[in-house]
Amino acid sequence: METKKIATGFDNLVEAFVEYISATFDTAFNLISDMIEGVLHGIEQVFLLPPFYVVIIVFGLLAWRTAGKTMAAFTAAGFLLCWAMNLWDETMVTMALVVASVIITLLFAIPLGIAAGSNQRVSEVTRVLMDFLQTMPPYVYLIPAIAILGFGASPAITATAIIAFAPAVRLTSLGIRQVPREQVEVGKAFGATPAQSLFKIKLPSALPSIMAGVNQSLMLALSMAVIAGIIGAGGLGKEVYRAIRVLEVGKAFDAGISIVILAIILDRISQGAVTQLKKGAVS
Amino acid sequence: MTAETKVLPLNSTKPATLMDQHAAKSEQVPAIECRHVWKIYGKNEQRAHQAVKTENISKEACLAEYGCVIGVVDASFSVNQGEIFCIMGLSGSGKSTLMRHVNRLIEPTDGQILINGTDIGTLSTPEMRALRAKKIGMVFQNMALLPHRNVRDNVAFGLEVRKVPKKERHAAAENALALVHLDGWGDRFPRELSGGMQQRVGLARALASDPDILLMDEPFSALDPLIRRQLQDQFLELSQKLKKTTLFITHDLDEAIRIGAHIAIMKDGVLVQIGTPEEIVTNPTDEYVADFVAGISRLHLVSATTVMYPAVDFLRKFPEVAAEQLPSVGPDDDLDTLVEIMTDVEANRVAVRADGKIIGIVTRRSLLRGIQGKPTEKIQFDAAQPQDAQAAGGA
Ligand SMILES: Nc1ncnc2c1ncn2[C@@H]1O[C@H](COP(=O)(O)OP(=O)(O)O)[C@@H](O)[C@H]1O
Ligand SMILES: [Mg+2]
Repeated sequence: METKKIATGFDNLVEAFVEYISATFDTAFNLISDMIEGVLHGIEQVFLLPPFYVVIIVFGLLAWRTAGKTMAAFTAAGFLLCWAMNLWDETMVTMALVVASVIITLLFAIPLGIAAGSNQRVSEVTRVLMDFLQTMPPYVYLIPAIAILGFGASPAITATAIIAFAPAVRLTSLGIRQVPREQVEVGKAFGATPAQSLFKIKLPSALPSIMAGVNQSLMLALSMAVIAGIIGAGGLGKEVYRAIRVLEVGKAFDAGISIVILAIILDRISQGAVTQLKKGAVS
Repeated sequence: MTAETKVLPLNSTKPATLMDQHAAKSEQVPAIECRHVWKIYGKNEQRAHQAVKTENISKEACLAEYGCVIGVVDASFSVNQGEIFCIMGLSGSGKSTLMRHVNRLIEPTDGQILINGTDIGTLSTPEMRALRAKKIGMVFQNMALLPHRNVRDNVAFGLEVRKVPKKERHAAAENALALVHLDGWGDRFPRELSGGMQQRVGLARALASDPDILLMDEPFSALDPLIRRQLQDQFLELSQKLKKTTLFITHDLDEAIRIGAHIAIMKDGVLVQIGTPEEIVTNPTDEYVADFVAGISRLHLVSATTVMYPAVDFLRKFPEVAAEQLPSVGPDDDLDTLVEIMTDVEANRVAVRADGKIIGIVTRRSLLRGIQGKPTEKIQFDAAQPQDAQAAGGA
């Protein structure tokens, strides 16, 4: 009885808090929402404006540079299949959603990761926070996002960015921590300021690890971007839910395949970038 | 390279007249001086320091009671302008710790470090940074090149940090690479170079800003013996050309003797002996140093004066010896020269002449004792000991 009361009380508190926040900072959130959508639309245009074959060629070349010939062929064939299944626009919108979320998340995650990598206190607090973020079921983030930012792309991106946040922070922090001690000492011995030491020694040395974080963020963002189809984000997620609602099994399956293709392409290209960077860094 | 004044920016609180005096005297002022430097690692360093100082507690007790590691104990030494000063000791004896005080990578628990007469403990952070960037170059045991930069940008790193324009710093880097015979390797990456070459890049990086002082922490220890020997020779040649004050760490006494004008022997954080290679080899202060020098060949280290009998005593004891007719050597000639003469000319005695005057006589016996590392005996005038007299006469 008592516990139930407390639980309801807590739920009410959270709801009241979310309501209070969204009411009080309404203007601010509208502004943020507009900004997020601005970023998304900008990136969407980059993928949608050029003819599809140009995008395919560019990504093919990118895959070639980072992951080799086989992956380049797979990228071209995979994207071509998405186009053939009449899901080109949806695929590009989802990719834009993922890229926008990851860019926004990195804007916060990398500085936090650097701070956590440089300071033990920050590191401990951050670790608790990241454990919390990562163990919460992803759907939980959708509801407050809607409450605060409304229906549509910006809550979807916000929720996606939150999901993608933790690995980027963790691996940036790890990368900074793993910079060999003697390299940091070189910076000091030659008179580098702390900022110079960060940009000229620590970040270049941590780059492979940071990129591994970006890779994980991309994967998590993709899974969330699909889920976010429920709350009005466009793209493949929306297509999956539409198809399921009207029981178009074939169409839902096509969209599923496009998601897998996109996942493999984003994963291998970013993974390939990590490998390239690591190869460059081994002394 | 940029034209820098050769005088260290002195503590700005000093009056101008004092600064001028310092500048004028900079030849005599030691380039590096450590005064009673202590370093205790750990949270309770001050309390542990007191305990070590007043109660003389052991290393183990210090760790057990205070959780502190003793790094350096009351180290004092000075390095003259332009000389190479070696610190020699086993691994863990505190050599690196002591050296890192000189560019203040480590703050001393107690004591002072002076560079060209300035107490660097009084410098502000930017002043200290400027000192490191312009006046002190450092070479690391494990090379510590930055793997994501090519050789040229590694060498130019110190200048880049000082915001020297790209063209200028690349020119300086090429010059420094030429000094270590690596011209043309600028575009390569460290991983493409052998260990010996990487260490030459490390040396070039330290030389690129044309510093007054070089700190070299076991620069050749990680290399195999043949390459090590080559690099020692190259370094000696270079150092005769550049005449930079160098603090050089090694765990190899042979290397210390080859390279150092002075050697400090370190044991458990204590500088147990400081001296010229000859002083260390001929007159070790304790068992520890004696063990170290036991295997060292004295032939090229010990001079004739160390093994000679004073001419006055010798000629009083053996008036029949025609000293003027003996083959002679200079006072600084080494034992090898004496061996050469005694074997070639079949002389039993050699005179040591300084400015034409005979100051001493070396006999076969005194030479052999010298090679073995035994001290030269006093000439006995007591007739009751004929053995000594006979021996000293070498008859
Ligand atoms: N940062 C540190 N913290 C605690 N102890 C240290 C630290 N650095 C060195 N020491 C200790 O100080 C002693 C001297 O080390 P070091 O100066 O590296 O010796 P060496 O260079 O002669 O091998 C060793 O016992 C080592 O374990
Ligand atoms: Mg060391």
